[in-house]
Amino acid sequence: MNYSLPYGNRRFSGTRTTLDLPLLASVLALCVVGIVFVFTSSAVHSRLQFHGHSDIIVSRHVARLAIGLAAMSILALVKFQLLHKIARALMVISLVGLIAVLLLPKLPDATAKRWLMIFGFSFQPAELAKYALIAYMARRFTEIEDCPFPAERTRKTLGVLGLVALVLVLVVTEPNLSMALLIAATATALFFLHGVPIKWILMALPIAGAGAGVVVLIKPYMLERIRYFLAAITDPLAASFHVKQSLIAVGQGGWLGLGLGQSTQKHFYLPEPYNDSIFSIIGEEIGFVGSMLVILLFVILISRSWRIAVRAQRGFSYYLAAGITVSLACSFIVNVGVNLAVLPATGQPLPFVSFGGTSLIMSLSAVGVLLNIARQQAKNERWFPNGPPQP
Amino acid sequence: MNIPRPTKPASVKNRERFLVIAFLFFVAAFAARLAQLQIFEQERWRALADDQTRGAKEEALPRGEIRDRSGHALAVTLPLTYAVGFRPKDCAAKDSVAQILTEYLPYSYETLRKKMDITPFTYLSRKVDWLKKDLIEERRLPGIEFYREARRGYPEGSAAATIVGFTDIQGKGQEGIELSLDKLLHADPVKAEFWRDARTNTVPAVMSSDMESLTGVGAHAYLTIDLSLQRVLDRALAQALDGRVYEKACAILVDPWTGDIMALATLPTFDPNHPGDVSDTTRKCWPFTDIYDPGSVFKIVTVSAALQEEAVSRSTMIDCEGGSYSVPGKVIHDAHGYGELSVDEVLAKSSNIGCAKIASRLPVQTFYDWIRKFGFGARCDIGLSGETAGIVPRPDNWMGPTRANLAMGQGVSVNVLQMTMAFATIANGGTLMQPRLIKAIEFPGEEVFEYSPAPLRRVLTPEVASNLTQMLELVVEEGTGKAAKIEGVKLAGKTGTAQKVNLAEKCYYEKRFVSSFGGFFPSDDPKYVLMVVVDDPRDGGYYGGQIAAPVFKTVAEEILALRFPEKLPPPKKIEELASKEEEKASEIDSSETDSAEVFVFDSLLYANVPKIPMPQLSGLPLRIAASTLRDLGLGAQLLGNGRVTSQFPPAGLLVPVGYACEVQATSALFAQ
Repeated sequence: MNYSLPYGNRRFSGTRTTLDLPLLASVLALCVVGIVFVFTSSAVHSRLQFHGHSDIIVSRHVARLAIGLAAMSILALVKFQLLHKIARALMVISLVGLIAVLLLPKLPDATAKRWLMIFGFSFQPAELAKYALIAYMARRFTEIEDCPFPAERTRKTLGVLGLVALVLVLVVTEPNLSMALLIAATATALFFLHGVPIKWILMALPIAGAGAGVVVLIKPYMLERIRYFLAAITDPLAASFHVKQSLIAVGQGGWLGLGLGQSTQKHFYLPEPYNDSIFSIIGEEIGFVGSMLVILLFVILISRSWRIAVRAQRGFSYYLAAGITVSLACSFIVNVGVNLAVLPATGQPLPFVSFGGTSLIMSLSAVGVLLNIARQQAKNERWFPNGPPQP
Repeated sequence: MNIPRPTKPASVKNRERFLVIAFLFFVAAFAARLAQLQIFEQERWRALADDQTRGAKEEALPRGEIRDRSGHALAVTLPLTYAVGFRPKDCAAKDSVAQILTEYLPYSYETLRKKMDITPFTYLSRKVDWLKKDLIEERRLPGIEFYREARRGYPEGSAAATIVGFTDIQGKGQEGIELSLDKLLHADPVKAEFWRDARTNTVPAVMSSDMESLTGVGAHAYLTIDLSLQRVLDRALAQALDGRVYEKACAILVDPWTGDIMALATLPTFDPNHPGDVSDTTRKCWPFTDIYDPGSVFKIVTVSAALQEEAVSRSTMIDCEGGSYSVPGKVIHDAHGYGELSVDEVLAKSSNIGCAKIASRLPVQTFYDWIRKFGFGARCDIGLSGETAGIVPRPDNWMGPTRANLAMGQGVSVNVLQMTMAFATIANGGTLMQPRLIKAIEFPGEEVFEYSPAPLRRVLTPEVASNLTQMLELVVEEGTGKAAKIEGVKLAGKTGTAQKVNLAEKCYYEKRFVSSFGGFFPSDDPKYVLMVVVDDPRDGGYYGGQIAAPVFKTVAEEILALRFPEKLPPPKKIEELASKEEEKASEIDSSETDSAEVFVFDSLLYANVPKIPMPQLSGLPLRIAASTLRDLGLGAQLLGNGRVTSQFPPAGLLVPVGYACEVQATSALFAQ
């Protein structure tokens, strides 16, 4: 029989921990990969930008990583149910941030109105909005599930849809199309998991298509990128300069790569080698084997967090964990897909690896939430070995 | 342990599965794409990467040095400079780049901008020093490339410039040893690979590590030139000919025992650091590359041949026909008419008729063979390019006057070195030496390859050689070469005055001559062979004895003073000097003392120092003046050379012992 007593007392429960170790390990491993590759890919830029100091960018990255890990630890300890309470407030703050970022002047050196300066730190409200939307949608969907009136449920679902549309419009206006795409994908996945009929989703597609058409009309470079992307499917050399540079980087890596620090493409051939193009540098410096290992880490991470979502059954934690998982998976797919020219070019950081302020901190915080959910699940399993009590 | 769970609707489970499959689809797509790019297409992408990131350029390595026999550098490679190159295809903003470059390069905006349109590559500037190069490099301008350039420097300036030669801007030898040993001195440029970043700047970290591994420089050449003798020769020749009008002049100093060319001075001279300042004729080593008719100096060949063949003896009397003598096709004249002369006297007085008659006692073929035996008509092969063999007419082409002409050095073309080596043959007892200019080649990191002195053949028996030496001594003692006489030193030499060849019209100039004097000293123990050639002297006199012999004397004196001061007569005793110069001194003093009297050495500094009267030095050779002062216990600060022209303090003044007197000397040779 089972001697590990389900009394929650560690002293009696052997070495078993409530921590989701594979998830934590894969995240920390990706963070280490991140430090290494932010350093090798930023050294040249840093030296040029900071008068010979090659380590400035990587130290900034490490500082942000430390903040992110701290946030992760705190959120892993704080009950995730707190988010249920503050979901609405977070959503309001995010919307205020998204509107503020449009009204305030552009930051110097910025190409778009994406960043807010808060206490000397630049901050992307869209990143916060992504997770606030996930939390808010999780809460609303739980409420909807509890609602016995079908008409009321439909109204509430449409209300959520309206909110999603508002967030998307605000993010597109920044403009930050890739972020809008990620938010749209995450939201769609949540609607999908919520059980919205497929035909509704199919009906929403023409509307989304029309929205995309408007965006393309306003931003012709989008069309250009798609055109390049399509051309490059048949002939990689027809790709745009930056896409070609990504392919050169990955391609010349070969089986084992050129070796750490040996990338040629980081010498200004690739745009933002320590951010959006970091996966190309990984491919170039540690080759097929290394890239596959990094992909494997992501697969572990995603599968573990998906497991948490699936185990959560229905309810707030289910939507929260699923939303976070989908969001992380989408970031991963978009970044790697773009670097491998499998997807049209767009700039999106690789979670946990790329240099990035808000994105890195938010991703780690999200993992913190996942860890907390997993922790509570493990505890519940001890307390209620036959499943959670039925309400 | 199975935990029973509340069941999820099947539709939601299916939807979850769909999402998982979608994710796995992407992961599989990524894996496939990575395999395609990195495993199957790696070569192709690597080629594209190399294409855009890798470049290679040739880097010059230091060229070997040229040094004198004791290792003093004559030609060195100076610290690197850089050529600034420009590749238009790498630069989109040519206007602004040109504007920035005007700050660093000595060109106007328009000039630079125009150069920048030259495709695919052009040099914007050369010989840019490293400091400027660093400044330009810091701006990280697109399209700009730097190439290391070797710059050649000649620390001794014009010393032996015609032998050392010079290089062009790319460091390739153009004249002299620089040209003839170009392949040895030259270090093969090393192909240096570099990386280029997307801003078309070379990646410095990669660059420097590549550069450090480069080793290997060109070989160093050691010449037989002796720099101190070269300096003396240069100075003495320039001094001796100062103020004279002539086309060109040279003096060559050879060690008769080894054939080493110790020094070669040419006038006009040039500075190989700025070879562009003078014409080609000045820059080439004309004593080796140009031919001339030697004239009477060549009579040593005629006389030695006749003596060695025993066609005449030194005392054989030759009728010199009173100054005019017909040979088939020509009438030969002597400068002065002579009657019967012994062979000694024929040479001493340089009688053309006498020599023609001596030569006529030799069969044509024998005489020709003798000329060839002395090395005429064959290149000396000293290792300079463009060296001439000279022209000796073959016997079957000889016509009526040819033998008589050859006997007196007309109708035969030689170079100065060949003539000098003939004197060296007599000086060393009859062996023709292979003249040596390149002493050794040092391959860096390897052993030194040395050329040893090489005798070519025995030309004269020692007896004939010593007879000839005595005859040449007579030339200096009482013959045409009296002007070369140095008191107390035995000198052997021969004058020469040859009609200059008019190459344009293939005849001799009526009134243009090459005046020369060759000889060796001290003739009882020959140390050096010296040959002085003055081409086309135009002011007052053209005879070798008038023009070249005094130059020979000055040069020989200086060289002896430098190397064998004991061979020169000892300086005269002070008492003698004093008594000798007394009258003169009093004369000069009366006119010069008014300013001198102001000087009284009675300061405290000299209070307890014994004082002696200052000797009269004016007119003495500087060497003697210096030893006089030294013997008196006075210091000397010597300026110039030649004979003393002024002194301080003036003669007769009481000078404290140890006082450093100033003695100014100038060569008085032509001042009279």
